[in-house]
Amino acid sequence: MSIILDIKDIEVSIDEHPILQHITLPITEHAITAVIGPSGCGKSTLLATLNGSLQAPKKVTNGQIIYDGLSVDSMDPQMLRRQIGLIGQQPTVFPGTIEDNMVFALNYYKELSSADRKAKAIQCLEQAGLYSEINGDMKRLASSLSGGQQQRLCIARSLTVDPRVMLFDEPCSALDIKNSLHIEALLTELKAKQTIVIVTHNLQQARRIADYTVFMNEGRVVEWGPTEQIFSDPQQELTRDYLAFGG
Amino acid sequence: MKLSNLALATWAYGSLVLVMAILIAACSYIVYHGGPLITVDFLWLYPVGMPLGVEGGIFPAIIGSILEGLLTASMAAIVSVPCALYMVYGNISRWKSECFLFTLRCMSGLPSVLIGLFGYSVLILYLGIDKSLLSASITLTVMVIPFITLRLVKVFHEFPRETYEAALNMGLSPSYIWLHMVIPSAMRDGLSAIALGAAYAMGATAPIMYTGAVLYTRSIPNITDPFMALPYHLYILVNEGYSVDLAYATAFVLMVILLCINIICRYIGGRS
Repeated sequence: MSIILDIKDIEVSIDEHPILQHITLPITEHAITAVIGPSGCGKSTLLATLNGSLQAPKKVTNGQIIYDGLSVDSMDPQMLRRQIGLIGQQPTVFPGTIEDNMVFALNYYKELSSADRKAKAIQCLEQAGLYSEINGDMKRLASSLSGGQQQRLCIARSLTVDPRVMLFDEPCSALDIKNSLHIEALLTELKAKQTIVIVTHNLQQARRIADYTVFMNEGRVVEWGPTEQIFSDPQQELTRDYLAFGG
Repeated sequence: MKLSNLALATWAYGSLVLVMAILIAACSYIVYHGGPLITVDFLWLYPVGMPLGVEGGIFPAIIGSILEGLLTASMAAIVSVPCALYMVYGNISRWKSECFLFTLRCMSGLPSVLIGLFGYSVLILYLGIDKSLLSASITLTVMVIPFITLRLVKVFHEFPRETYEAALNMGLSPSYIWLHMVIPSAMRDGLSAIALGAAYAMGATAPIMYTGAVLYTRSIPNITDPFMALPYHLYILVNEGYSVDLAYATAFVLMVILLCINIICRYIGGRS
């Protein structure tokens, strides 16, 4: 499998104070890469760096990210975010109905006819396993869905713009086990078409769904590799300690 | 309950009652003195008599005030809405944001007579624009922009930041998100803020007497004509000692217009 995102010696700082240091990491296409590590180690900052959504005062001070052969610095930020979507911890439904949510971005891009937009919305909802749960009622208020359904709606909504890479920042942290398993199953299905990078504190989740795992500590990548190798035979003492204490 | 807590609660409740009592007393006084003088003729006729205004009606002042309020609110909204959006979503540094807010707060505290003098100096003397509805509205716009912007900043802050960022993370442009998600969601409170600004402008006398308001006009004003306005008419009636009773009637009409503006804006905003 090819490398879709090549992170080369990235450094991110806040006012000269580095919060990510010498991050070098290849992200494999059509695979799930889990990023694990203690709180505050820079996992979420890494995700924001990948799709160019870092906010001041954080800024990239060194290195580059190559996406599909192009430096992300040279790409239009909006185009980059369309290609590399980011989904946060909390479900963030837009105001209005499920349909409003699903066609919001499609209305912006205007690449499809009105009928095709609705068809695309239904297709993405089906992909997220939500269409049958709502009995096809797209006029229902998005805010009336349960937390897990709202998170799947957010994923379905992101799928409408056909991103090639989807970044997930602890997507199950606010969900119960049943809904978490729903999301995990969805991510596993999605990797056939998309590349997934997921930040998680749940080591079991990383082990269940990820093909590759990255362990970060204090703004650095301590170790990365195939998930089974990281969990069964970690090479670094820090990784061993972290995994031994269950995160 | 501790004695200090009881004292604080009593003080707070007493203050609330006092404020409400003053407000109700002021309104009741105006209604009591002005209400009986409200007739169809008073609302529909031009001022007549000698001195002018002691007979007839206040029709041109009503129209002038409404036009002035609409023009001011429109011009202020055109500037204040993007300004507030930029302050909330513009990814500006905390230092810059504090500077903007400090400037706006200082500007919103400027005495209206000073704004009037500024408008007179710049528009009438320097730019050579005649005293008119336009120059008065521009002056009032300068006065209400900080007032409206500060309120809109609060309104836009109430829209969840995570939702805005979720939309950005789909590659959508900020302007699209502002126009199709943030502004429609904030419509009710945003319109209320603009209506309050318009009401503030319609009640101001000092800025317009330097820049556009006159004692009498023969017709409904064009944008480039001088105009009659309710607060200036009221000021003349009292200041020149023409008729305090008619001043109350004028104040009553002004109060009703401001109330109507607020109700209409809440209705439109609520429907959105």
